Amino acid sequence: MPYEIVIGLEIHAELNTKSKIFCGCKNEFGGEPNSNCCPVCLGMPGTLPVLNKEAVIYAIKAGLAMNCRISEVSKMDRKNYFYPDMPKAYQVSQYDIPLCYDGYVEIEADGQTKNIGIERIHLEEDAGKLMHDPNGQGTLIDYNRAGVPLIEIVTRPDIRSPKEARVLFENIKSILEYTGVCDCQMQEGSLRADVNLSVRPTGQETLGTRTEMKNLNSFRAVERACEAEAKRQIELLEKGLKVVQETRRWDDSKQESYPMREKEESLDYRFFPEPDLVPIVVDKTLIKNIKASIPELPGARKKRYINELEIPAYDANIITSDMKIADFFEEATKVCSNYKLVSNWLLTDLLRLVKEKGQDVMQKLTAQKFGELMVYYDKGEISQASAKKVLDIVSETGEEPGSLIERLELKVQRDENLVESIVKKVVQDNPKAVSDYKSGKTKAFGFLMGRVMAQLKGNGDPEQIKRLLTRELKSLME
Amino acid sequence: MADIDTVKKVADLAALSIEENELEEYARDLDAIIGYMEQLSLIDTGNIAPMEHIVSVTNAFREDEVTNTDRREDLLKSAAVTKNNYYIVPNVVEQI
Repeated sequence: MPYEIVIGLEIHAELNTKSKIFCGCKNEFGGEPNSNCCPVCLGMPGTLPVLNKEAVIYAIKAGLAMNCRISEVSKMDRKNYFYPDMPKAYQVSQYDIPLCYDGYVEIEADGQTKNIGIERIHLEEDAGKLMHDPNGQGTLIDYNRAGVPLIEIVTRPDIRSPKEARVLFENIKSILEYTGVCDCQMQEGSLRADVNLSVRPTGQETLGTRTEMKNLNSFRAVERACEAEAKRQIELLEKGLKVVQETRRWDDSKQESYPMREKEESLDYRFFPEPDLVPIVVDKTLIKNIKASIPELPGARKKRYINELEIPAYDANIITSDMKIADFFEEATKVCSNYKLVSNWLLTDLLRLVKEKGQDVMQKLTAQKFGELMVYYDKGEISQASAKKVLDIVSETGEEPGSLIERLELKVQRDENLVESIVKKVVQDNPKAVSDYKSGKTKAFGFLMGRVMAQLKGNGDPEQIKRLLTRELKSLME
Repeated sequence: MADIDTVKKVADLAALSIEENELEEYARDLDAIIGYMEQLSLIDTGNIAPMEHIVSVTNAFREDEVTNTDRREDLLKSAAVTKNNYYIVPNVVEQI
């Protein structure tokens, strides 16, 4: 029986603020354990939280970038639970009135463009980190992350394939990066996703029983976890068994998920309005100002590159998925207007260098110099091999491409008289190759061309050499 | 009437341990409290706008500035058990 997969994502993104959400502690990853803590984020009695304005602004910014409506009045609520990752025994979150609601994000997957609904984006605080002592001496807690501002983005169950889930997650990551809302360091956990997935026989209206999978911190993990879970659920149904509604943990290294232990008593968070924090009122001016601060988003940029710069869709997609790369591309095209050339070199050679040597090469190289180099190459003033050589050196030293080309004498030599005299000399000095050529061994032509190119220190114009060499050999055969 | 199961559930959610022989007394007490609060429903609120918060202040924000310094030593002192600057609690199982 054919089945349809129905997926919704919950994405948690830590906000790029300098300080925590309710206190003046530093919001940073990787500090010494418990070094960024104070009585407020440790939940000491008698302390009072004060909401970080920037966290509210970032949340609204994310909402606007995802086409959400913004609640004029919203509030914070308490989510009560006992677990030592939150020292207060509750997490401050938003329950019935999220800051942002009813938006959408466009995705392109499996050859189709569609909008995935964003049900809500709410503001909350992150929890501390627990580590289980290998010697069984208890659980170790680091509260540096407790109170780090977070948004939770909840999508509608509009996703229909693992691929769509991945693309949506990628698109949301790009949007968060472009807007500066989140640094999206997934290996540090600042962006992570939970997947809600169910399957139903194709054509059936009602949704199947869903499971929730946690612990997904890479695009690939999201796609694989969706594939594996859909397969698992379909297999259960095919055997006439039922899917149990449960929370599962995905283990990406083993490529499988397992059910998480649940309390016998079903969880009841007993949400209530946070009495220590007053309502948030968002006026039109604030929304207008935040809207004005949102840069051109990846989707719009991609369309512009395809339609105006005639960059292939696939390439435009890669360039715009990372704002640093997109900005670099944009800068470079201000210098060299052969957009396709810049795009090709950027996607192959520059990304190779970034992969080999890290993001720093982009700072050393600069888009300006990269563009200048492309101009030299585009005009045919240097060969492809020389251009690659210059690129490698400039990305190490930051030297000006122009002076480097000068210094290393890399300019293509096109002086007709000079090249002609070299061709004549090479023909004279290599009688064996010439006679081979005359007897029909075409390989000899390549050998002679190579000799000429070597005389020109590799800076010859192959077309010109070919033309002059052909003419010279022809004259000998007459 | 709050039944014994309700008392057990509420106690469990609040992480309170209540002896079996105390359950009935708690159920009666809960009833009395809820009954007292029930009086609120006698008031006609038809013409009153819903209240967001008990105080009429809104938008009490702080600027995004780091104002705290590392006070680990002081703060860790208030914990029962610590180790290498970590707080230690009895082993907890993974929970959702």
